[in-house]
Amino acid sequence: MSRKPKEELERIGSAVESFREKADLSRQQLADEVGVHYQTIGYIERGEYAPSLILALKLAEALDASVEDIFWLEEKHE
Amino acid sequence: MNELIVIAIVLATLSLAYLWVYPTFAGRNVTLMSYMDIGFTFVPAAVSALLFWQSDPVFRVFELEFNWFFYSVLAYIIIEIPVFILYVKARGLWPEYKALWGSSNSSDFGWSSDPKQVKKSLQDESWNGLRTKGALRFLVWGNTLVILGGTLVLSVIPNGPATSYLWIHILLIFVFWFLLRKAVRLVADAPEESLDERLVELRDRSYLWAYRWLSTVAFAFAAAPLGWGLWMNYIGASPDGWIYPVEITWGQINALFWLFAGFTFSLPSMALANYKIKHGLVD
Repeated sequence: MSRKPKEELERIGSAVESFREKADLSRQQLADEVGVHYQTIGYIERGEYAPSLILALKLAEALDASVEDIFWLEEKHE
Repeated sequence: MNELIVIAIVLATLSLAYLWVYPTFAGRNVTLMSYMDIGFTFVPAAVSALLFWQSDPVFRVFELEFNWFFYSVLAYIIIEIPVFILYVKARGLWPEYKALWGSSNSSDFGWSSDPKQVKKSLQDESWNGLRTKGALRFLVWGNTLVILGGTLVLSVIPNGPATSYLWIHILLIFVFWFLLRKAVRLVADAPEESLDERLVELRDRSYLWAYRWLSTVAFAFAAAPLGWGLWMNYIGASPDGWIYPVEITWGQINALFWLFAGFTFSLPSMALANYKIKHGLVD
């Protein structure tokens, strides 16, 4: 059975957070890099907001990762 | 004679504003000066109220007749225009004024807040006390109570006390509107360019809810006279069948105006505050 969207978002949020910490960036620094409010990064990391395609691409670039490293669906992997 | 008294009050107010308050407290901050100016416009009216409330004399300008309130406000505005132009010219404030008007030059001018103010507000943490769940709830319910309660009070009390209470009602509406906007960081009224994609989504959602709520209020108030008219016919209280003699007081006219004005100003921010409460999206 596929995972609920909320769980998918939380998993993606955790991935964003761990890549951010690996890159040694604060939420504010990452937010400035991709041009959003720092709270938006918090919402993404908590799985409370799904970023647009453009923002996802910007986040991956800022975190020095490929989009597939951060944004992928569990169902596909299974 | 009364006309000259009001003009003297206007001149005294203008002297206070332009010779002391604006240079000392506003300086080159034309935004602050504009807000202060709105306040000063009503100072002569407030003083006139103390002098002419009871006697309610007629003020004549050529063939036109005014009461103390309109005469005081109009006299202030007309006398202020040349003083304002001279002041701005003497202090070289035109660039600041052009920047102030220019920054609101987008297509949604008049509908949205100044982008600079929004950006500042998004970083501002000094009003965080208003952004807790409890404070947001207080503001949403408080604002609803102020508008609906004030509407009820103005509708039932006689004209004299209604005119006095009206000022308190208007003040409360603006205080709650100001606090609600601060609580949601001006997001509900912000232009597109000062928000990121999540905030644009939040703003648009709050407008959807604001429209739904406002249309509910409008529908209720449009339906009420219809229901009342049908009821009057049913009980035979309308002698001609379809003509209804209605008396409406100044208080009731204001009750209606400020009901819609109050909700029109505050509903987008209220809807956003309510959405944040429901979804636990507090800062």
